[in-house]
Amino acid sequence: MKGAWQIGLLATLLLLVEGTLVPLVGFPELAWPIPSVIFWIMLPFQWGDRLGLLLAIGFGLSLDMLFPPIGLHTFCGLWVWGLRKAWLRMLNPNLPSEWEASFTPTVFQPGEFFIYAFPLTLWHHLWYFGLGRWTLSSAILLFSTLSATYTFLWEWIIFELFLRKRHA
Amino acid sequence: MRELKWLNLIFRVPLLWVLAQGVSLYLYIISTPAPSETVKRWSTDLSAAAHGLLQWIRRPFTAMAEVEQLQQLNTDLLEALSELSQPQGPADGSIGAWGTFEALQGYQLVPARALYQTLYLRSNYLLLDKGGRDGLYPGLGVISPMGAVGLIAETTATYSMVYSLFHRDVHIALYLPKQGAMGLSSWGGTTFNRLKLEYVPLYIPVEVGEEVWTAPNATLFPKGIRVGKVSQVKTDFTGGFYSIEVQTYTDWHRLGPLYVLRPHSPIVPPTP
Repeated sequence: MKGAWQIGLLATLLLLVEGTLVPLVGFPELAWPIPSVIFWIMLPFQWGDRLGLLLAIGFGLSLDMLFPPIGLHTFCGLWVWGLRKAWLRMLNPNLPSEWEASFTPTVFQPGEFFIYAFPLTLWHHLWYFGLGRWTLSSAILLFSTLSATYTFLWEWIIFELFLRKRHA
Repeated sequence: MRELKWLNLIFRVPLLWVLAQGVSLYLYIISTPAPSETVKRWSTDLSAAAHGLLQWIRRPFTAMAEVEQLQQLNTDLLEALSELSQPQGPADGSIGAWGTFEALQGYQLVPARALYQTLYLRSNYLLLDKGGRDGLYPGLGVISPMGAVGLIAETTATYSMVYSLFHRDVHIALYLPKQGAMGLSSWGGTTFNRLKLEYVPLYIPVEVGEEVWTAPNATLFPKGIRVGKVSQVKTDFTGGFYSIEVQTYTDWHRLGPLYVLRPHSPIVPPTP
């Protein structure tokens, strides 16, 4: 399966980043990054929905086991995975019917990547921090938005350094 | 082929996605205190509202039974009053749950309705239609015209959950007024009008038919609320205590109108 080892490497890298780097760069009162969201955003479309769902759940459970509370990462991550295809079709209504077989988000330009990834990240964070703090207030909405912006910065760095395909 | 069709239907991705979301959310809620408390509160409110509706539908049918009980209670009160008015008449005659009324000094009776009650469980409870807004809080005693019923364990703004005397974890201090002996109630989980009175020492003579009241030093109930009558006395020489069976005046299956005993000044738990 093409790209399997890259996805495995990305998952491992993200788990390491979540455990080591995030506590160092996060601001608990202002914005908390969760760069692992990029895993659900970037899972290859051509692998099919069943395998994709299995990987999405597997990665979520790994995060849950390493960074409790259990269930929260999987729940929020599956939202991202579940919505990304519909979101992409909404952004590109003229995609051909068999687009999943050939399309990959790794070809996105930075602007396209922002339009694709930021709303999904924001959606993830609204669920994550809303459920995590178990309240829905303007403070949580602001914190989620700031965190999504900060997370996107890290996602963009990962995207540019490791994932983006550059054409010659 | 048919099995394969079913498998295909079950393993549809949207269905699996919903299932995975449900399981994840469930795991999160049960493993985190704040969400699980909220869900518990919601489910109690929902359950209370549903049973409130059912109770409302049943109201005309239960009203007649309540009227009969009230008539009987009125008769008892009139009888007791007539005895008290005679100069030489007995003054220790008890009237329903309220003994000689002396027990209720310092308490206010808050009438309440049972919206729902469990039957045949080992941890029996009932839901009352009164809660924090009516000044109720956990720890208050609940009585019926027949005798003690239980204790408020949890309250929301509009509902209260009452743990019954017929609950495996409820133990209240009881009193044999004739002998002045005290013991502790417990429920064996079988009969809904019988309790056990334990820790009454063997050197105290106990007779079948004696009254059992709440104890003078009880913190939750006022002293002297009627609980039942001694129906059987067994001697356990190995333990040094009686094993006394008390037939309660309250029958869990026929509670009737309920009253919460709210002290005029709130109960302050003793500091350790």
